[in-house]
Amino acid sequence: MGAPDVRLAEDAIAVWPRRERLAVVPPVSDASWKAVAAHAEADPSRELMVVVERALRRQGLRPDGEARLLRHRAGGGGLPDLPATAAFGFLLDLSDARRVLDGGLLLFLDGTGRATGWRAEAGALTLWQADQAPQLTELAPGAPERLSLFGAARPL
Amino acid sequence: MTGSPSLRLDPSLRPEDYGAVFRQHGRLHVPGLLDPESAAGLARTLGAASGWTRSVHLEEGRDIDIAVEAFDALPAEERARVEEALADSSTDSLQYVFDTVRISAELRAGREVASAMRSLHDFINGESFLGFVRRLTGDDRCAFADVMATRYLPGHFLSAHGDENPAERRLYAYVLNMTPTWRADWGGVLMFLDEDGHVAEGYVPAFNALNIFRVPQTHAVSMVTRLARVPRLSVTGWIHAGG
Repeated sequence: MGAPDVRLAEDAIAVWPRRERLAVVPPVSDASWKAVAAHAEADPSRELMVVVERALRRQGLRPDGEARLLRHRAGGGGLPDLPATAAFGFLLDLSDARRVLDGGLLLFLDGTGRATGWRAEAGALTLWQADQAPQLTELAPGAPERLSLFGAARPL
Repeated sequence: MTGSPSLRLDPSLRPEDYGAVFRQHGRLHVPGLLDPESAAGLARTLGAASGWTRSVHLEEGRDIDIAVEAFDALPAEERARVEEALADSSTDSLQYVFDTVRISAELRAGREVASAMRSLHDFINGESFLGFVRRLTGDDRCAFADVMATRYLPGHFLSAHGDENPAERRLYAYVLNMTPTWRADWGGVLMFLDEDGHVAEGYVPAFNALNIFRVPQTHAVSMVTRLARVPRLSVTGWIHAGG
């Protein structure tokens, strides 16, 4: 019998990217959008930011600058660049994708062509190191809108 | 169509070295499968291939398998209906659209295939490749393989499925990507899904890299995007146990 696989708890915490499901996501109404486009931007509501701040705090982080609401529609994809000084990025999903074929996946590539990632799940917060930004893949024809809150974060 | 390529595995490969990883994870990505000359020849063969069939599966019992030229000649309304059905994200049933040359199926049916495609079929079913798979998987049951060439153009995809087919005794599925240059944002990623429908692991197509995995295993190929400047070409199929 081989030696047991023993790791310090800190090892697990150091793994990026991270994802957690938040218990509650405040609704985002269509009226809150400033623009209607593949990449719409709007001021996120205060209550939404409170949820995000709490979630980031649990990870030892806080928002770094303004967060942006994103709306992706069929044919759309991609994420805005983080500020050059940002240490971390985050995306809070505000809508669901039932299946990976809908696209809008948050895909993390390791530089050798190997990927891991997630489909959209309302209430899921994904965090990553700024130098390991994911792709948000193109939404397939017929896919439902993908709503999310995107921003930068830094250590507390 | 170019002449029949003579295909050889890269002699430096040591399939036994992969065995432990394969047995643990049930899938493996093997870069540099063929020697460089063989890989270049096969890429030319696939790039110049003719006789592609547009293969569309909308749902159980709704298949379209016709020559690409014939598909393109369909009335615009008819093609639009197909596109519309493929864009129906409410279904969980298997869906796909891609171009293929079903080499093994054509041979089984006694139909002619191009000599280069026949050579490819013979190589995949030869001792060199099947022996490689046996040593990699540690599975002596590997007896023969289905072979088809596939071509994914923008908008093509393969939805999540497990490849189960007890009647055919499929043991492993394989995909040998043969597009010389591919970018991750062009899509076409072979994705293995976890029980929550997320991407546990995916492989961006890489030239001359073999992806092999145990059947059944839920996987999908993400839609090739409009950004793709070249087709996603591959050789794919299943390794079967003997009858």
